[in-house]
Order: sequence, then C-alpha cells, then structure tokens
Amino acid sequence: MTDLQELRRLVIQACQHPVGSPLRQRYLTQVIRLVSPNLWREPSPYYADALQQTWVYFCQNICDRGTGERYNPDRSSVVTWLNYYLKRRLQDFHIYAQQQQQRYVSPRPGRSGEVSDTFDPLDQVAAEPDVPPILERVWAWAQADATGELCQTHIEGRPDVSCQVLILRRLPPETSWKDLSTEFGLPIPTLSSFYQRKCLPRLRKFGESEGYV
Amino acid sequence: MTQYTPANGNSRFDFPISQAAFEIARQFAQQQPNPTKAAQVQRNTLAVWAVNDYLQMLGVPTNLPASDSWNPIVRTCADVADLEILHLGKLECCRVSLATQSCQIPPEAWGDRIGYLAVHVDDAIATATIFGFLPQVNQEVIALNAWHPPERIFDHLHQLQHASKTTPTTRLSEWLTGQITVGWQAVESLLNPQQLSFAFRGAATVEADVAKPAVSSEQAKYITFEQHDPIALVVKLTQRDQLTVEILLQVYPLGRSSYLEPGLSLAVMESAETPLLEAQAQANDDYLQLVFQGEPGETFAVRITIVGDHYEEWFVI
Repeated sequence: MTDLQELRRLVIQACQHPVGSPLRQRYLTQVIRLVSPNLWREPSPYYADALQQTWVYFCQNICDRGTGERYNPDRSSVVTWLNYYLKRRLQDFHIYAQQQQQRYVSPRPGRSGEVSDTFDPLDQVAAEPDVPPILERVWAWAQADATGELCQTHIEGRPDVSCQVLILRRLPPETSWKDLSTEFGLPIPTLSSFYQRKCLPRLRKFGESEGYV
Repeated sequence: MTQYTPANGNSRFDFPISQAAFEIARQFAQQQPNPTKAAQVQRNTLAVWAVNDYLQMLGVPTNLPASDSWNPIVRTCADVADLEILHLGKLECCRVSLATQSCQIPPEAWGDRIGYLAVHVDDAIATATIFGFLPQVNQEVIALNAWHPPERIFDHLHQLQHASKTTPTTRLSEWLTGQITVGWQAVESLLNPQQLSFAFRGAATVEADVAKPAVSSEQAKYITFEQHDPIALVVKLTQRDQLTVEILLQVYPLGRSSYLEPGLSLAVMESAETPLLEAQAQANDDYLQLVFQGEPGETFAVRITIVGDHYEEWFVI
C-alpha cells in the first residue's frame, strides 16, 4: 500500500468516529506521523507557530466543516491541503512582523529556540536578583518549621529522614537520590515515594499560602 | 484493523513548539538558582507545553495551570514534567536521550502518574519528538524500543475515564457541606454560557416553600463514550427541610453539536432494573432534565443510555 492510499484510509477511518473518541485521536495521530515529513519547510522564525496552527486547522477541518472548509479528498491530498494553509500562515506572520518592524524601531525577534539571542533593551534594565526569592523562601520556611510538622513527619522508624531533611536536601543544588539512598541506607523508591506523598503536598500548601499559585 | 504499525517500525512523530512556550520556559528557568536546574526546567516546560498543545488539539481536556510543572515551588523542588489531565491525574513527559536511545524517569515521577510519554525536545528547531507511551514504569531508565506507540495513550485515557465511571456511591450530603466528590466540578467550568442560562431553570417546577431558606449545591461531571460525543451531567440538590431533598438532573451535549443525540436517555433508577423516571432526547433537544424529591439516606442511580453504550452512577442522598 502506498503512503497516499494509507493516508486516505486513515482519514476515512478517523472520520468514522466522533470528536474526542480514542479511535479518532489514534488515527489522526497516525495521519500526523505520515504527513509530517512531507510538509513544507523553511527556515523562518515563525515556522513552529505556523505549523502548530496548521495542525489545529487539520484537526478542526479534516472530518467536518470547522473553522474553514471541510477537507475534500477529491480535490487534493492531505499534504497539499495542509501545505497551502501552512504557507499562508507563514506569509501572515511575515507580513505582521514587517508591520511591527515599521511601527517600532526594534530588533527582530530571535529564531525559535534561540531565545537567548533575542536582544531586548528592557532585559538589561531589570537586574536579576542574586538568589531567586523562591528558593530562599522555601529554605527559610523549611528550616524554621514553625509548627514542627516537617520534623514530625518522617519515614517510619527513621526520625532522621523527615520532611524537613528531605526538602532541604532536595533544594537546588540538590543531593542526588542515589547519594541520599546511600547516606540513609534506604532504597530510592522509599525516599522518593515519601517525598511525593508527604513533602510535595506540604510544598504545594506552602506555595498557596505564599500566594505563588 | 485497529492496530497500525508504521512501515519503518518507528512510531515517533514531531510536534512544533510555539514561540509562546519559549517565552514561558525562559521565565520559569530564570527563577532557578543555577544553570543545571534552569536547563532542566526549560526542557520540562517546553515538553509539557508541546504535549498539552497536541492533546488539547485532539480533544483531551487538560489543566496545565494545575500541573506541578506549572507550580513555581514544586518545579524548583522537584524534577517534574507533568501535565494534569482533567479528572484523571498527571501524565509525565519524560526526557529522552538520543545518545543512549533511552528515556529517563526521575524518581519524583515514579508514582502518582496516570502514564508516561517519552518526549525529546530540540530547542534549535523548536520541535518536540514524541517517541512512545507507557502506562506505568518500574525503572529509572527505559530503552526507547520498549515503549508503546504514543497513540496508545488515548485508549489508556479512555479506559481510565471508563473506570472512573464505576466509582463508589457518591454521597450528595457531603456536597452541602462543601466537600466535592472527585470527578465533579463547577458547572460553569463545563457548560457554555447559553447552556448555563438553561441550567437550574427546572428547579422551580417542584413546589417549594419559598419562606424557608434552602441549602443547595450543584456540580457537573464530564462523561465520555467510546463512539459518541461527550456530555455533561449536572446534579443540583436543594435541601428544603430535614426530610426533603430536591434533586435536579440535567444532561448537556459537549461535542460539536449543540443538540443531544436523539435517543439518548436519562433515567433515575431505584434498583438496577427499575427506572423511576425517564426522559429521552428527541431531535433538536439541547438538554434533558428530571426533577424529583428524596429523603436523606435514600439511594438512587442515574443511568444515561446511548446507542451501544451507557453510563451509570449511584448516589446516596
């Protein structure tokens, strides 16, 4: 079976199932896999965004009329249909960027991924704090243990392996689970499961009380 | 034929990472105290963002802000790349090493997860490559060839959704004291504004003593079917007095159509066989509803039937 026939078959199968059903989700993923390597490519800073919008368009219009015309298999292959949309999105991004450039005298945004290349004069104004406040505050909270709860909550029979100890030791620069396991003579899953069940909920609660979430 | 293996035996696929993801990842990374931790947070943020885009686009309801990877405290204290799937739990987007052709699962993510995706992030080309899916893991490093094709995740999520349907009896009296059963959520979070304008309209159909102040609570549940569009079940209970609780049930479509599928039926059961009340959707019905009264301690089941499938949940008043 050629890829083209295979694609046609997958699209027909996907569309036999309702939106959000596991079968449609599965077949559409298989279409994405087959179509992906054949899509138009160009080195544009907006390529990822244009492609992401193309996939959303694909899911919305492949089986039903959604945000645009429903895909018509008699008119074009899925690849041709999506390439047409993708190129239009790239063009839109390009035009928009040009307009922005004319409006403000500002440097072009960096290529996707090369975030560090983006030069924004404002970045230079706000100096970064020496110690990130989050780390400092978690450290102070765990160290103080005002209610004694963090010390009192420990691995059974091991008052030396408490929430306080594990939270402090896992704060960056964190001690590896392997080293903690050796140090305390406990298997990693015992330590990490305790951390997940007892320490993380307390950290989440602390975050809420501090207004982080 | 339902199982499909790509010709080259490789089941990975690429998904783009948008500029917005890089901006968020940069912010999250900036909060970190050292470059190693910053790189970890950057990678985790990008992987979770891309997976979220991919799943949402295919209709999987997610809750990114409720994920640990989006929690400033937790992502600083743990190596987390989780994405909260609405009502089901956390999906981990584990780091792939191309050099060793394997995927690493941090000990922090060994439990409390409903599944794992192996995701490689390539910043330079703004691409996330999704290699595979596993429902559970039992090792820190798992070779890429041991992972299932990524699309297996959908059957798994559906099974979990289905399993959550056979939940133990939901205790409605707890709602009146503000304890909301897992799987239920605020009505506003599921229904659209037009549907909300219908919600609870029926409450006035039962004779009520308006002089007495009533305590009430309403919740909604997202329900999926294998072959049909998802629906919302809304339950509102109003305590009229010590012995009378009024219950209003409504069903709304959550798929593309604004109408319920004709033939869909909503029933209240006293036992597994006997429907006490029943309503059936006709063409162009945008919702169904039933109203009845019960006493505290009484049990009933809600049964929603649709061609080839059904949903049932037991309640105690």
